[in-house]
Amino acid sequence: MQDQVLQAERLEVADDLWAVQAFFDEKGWTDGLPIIPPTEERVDQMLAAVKLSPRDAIGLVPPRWAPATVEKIAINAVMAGCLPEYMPVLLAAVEALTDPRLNLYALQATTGGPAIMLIVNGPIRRQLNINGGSNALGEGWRANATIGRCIRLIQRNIGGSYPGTTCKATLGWPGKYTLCIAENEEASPWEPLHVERGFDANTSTVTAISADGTVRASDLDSTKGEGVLTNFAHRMEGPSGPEAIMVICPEHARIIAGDGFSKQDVKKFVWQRAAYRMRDLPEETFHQRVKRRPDLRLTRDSVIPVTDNPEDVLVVVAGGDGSQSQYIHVWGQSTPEGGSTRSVTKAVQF
Amino acid sequence: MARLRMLDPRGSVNAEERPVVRGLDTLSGKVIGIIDNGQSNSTTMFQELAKLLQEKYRPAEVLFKTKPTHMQGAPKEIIEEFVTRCDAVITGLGA
Repeated sequence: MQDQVLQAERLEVADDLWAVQAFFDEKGWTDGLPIIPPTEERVDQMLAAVKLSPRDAIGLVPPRWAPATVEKIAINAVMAGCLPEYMPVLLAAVEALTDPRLNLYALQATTGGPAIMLIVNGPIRRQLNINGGSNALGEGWRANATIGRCIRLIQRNIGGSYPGTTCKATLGWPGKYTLCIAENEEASPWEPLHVERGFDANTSTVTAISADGTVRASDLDSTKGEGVLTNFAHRMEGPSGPEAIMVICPEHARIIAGDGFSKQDVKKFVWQRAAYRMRDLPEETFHQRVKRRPDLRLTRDSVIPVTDNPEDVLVVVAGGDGSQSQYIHVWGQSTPEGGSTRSVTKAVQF
Repeated sequence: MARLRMLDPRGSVNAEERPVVRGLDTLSGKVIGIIDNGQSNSTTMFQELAKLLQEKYRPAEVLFKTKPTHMQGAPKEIIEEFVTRCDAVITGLGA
């Protein structure tokens, strides 16, 4: 890659890792963790992994509404510690991130402080060693850690989302550093997420979805699908969202599927049980709910399910041995217009 | 010490220079728009502001609109009405 092809402004800092870190820190261009210096040589290696031109823009990142060019994505990928072969996944992730259905503008600005969760499906999971097994939501895998981190750096550096000013997160949560998993398709009794969404099983995809935090859905006692799902549904009770994510561990998935539950049955079962009873709400909260959803004609006797429709519940199989699943709440609320945010799945193609 | 050359990670936009509109000399007799984002605290604050405007500055009208949801931008109809009718608009986030 020729030097003059790259458009980014050049920065010069003393050739010392601590000096580089101090410089990026002072500028506010990191997530607080050390970065790999984005030298032209390293950025060129990233760019060599894709066929697109460095100037090609994948989408606009709010609130700055700056174009996420392949070059800027590559710079942030170097900083995050990505390997060049992760680039196609990153491009698909940015395509999903900037899809208007995700409503990134709101996700970047809200006091709610959600993370962007990435779920990777298809053969690329294995090629890149993206973990969907033991400790999938935890630490220890470079691909998971750095792909998720790169997306956060893109939100910050390309999009201009800075905590305290343009990002109004009251607390945020650790998932904002990085949140990327593979679905454990091999251990799943059901069709994987991307197939459910109309992609071929051999196509690799990235799904982006807003994530508020996780609740562990531990169940070491149930031997029946109904038991596992009933306990899981209890963890999902509370203010409803536009979507909901069930990360079901393989052992639970086997019990559930063993009792004849299809993926659609799972969604329907928890949807009917994970509810928000208007009767339980304090006065002010009740009135606000009524105001927000005039279409539902809510009364004190109403029960609001976890999402508007059973199909809005995402079922993803991930994790290793053990009887520990997790529920992940999706930021925002269901609205008469279809929700504050919608997950987006894009094929890895570049 | 040797210098390390790196690339700027920030997104860049081609910002267009536009003059800032001159403020109104008076609010009296003007149409002032308020866009409330619908959150409880936003509505409370903007209703109070509308009351103060009416009492202190005697505008021709305070056009008060609440967005259907705070999680999306204002609908086109609200923006078009405000562009057509208002001399000044007040908006902001309430959480």
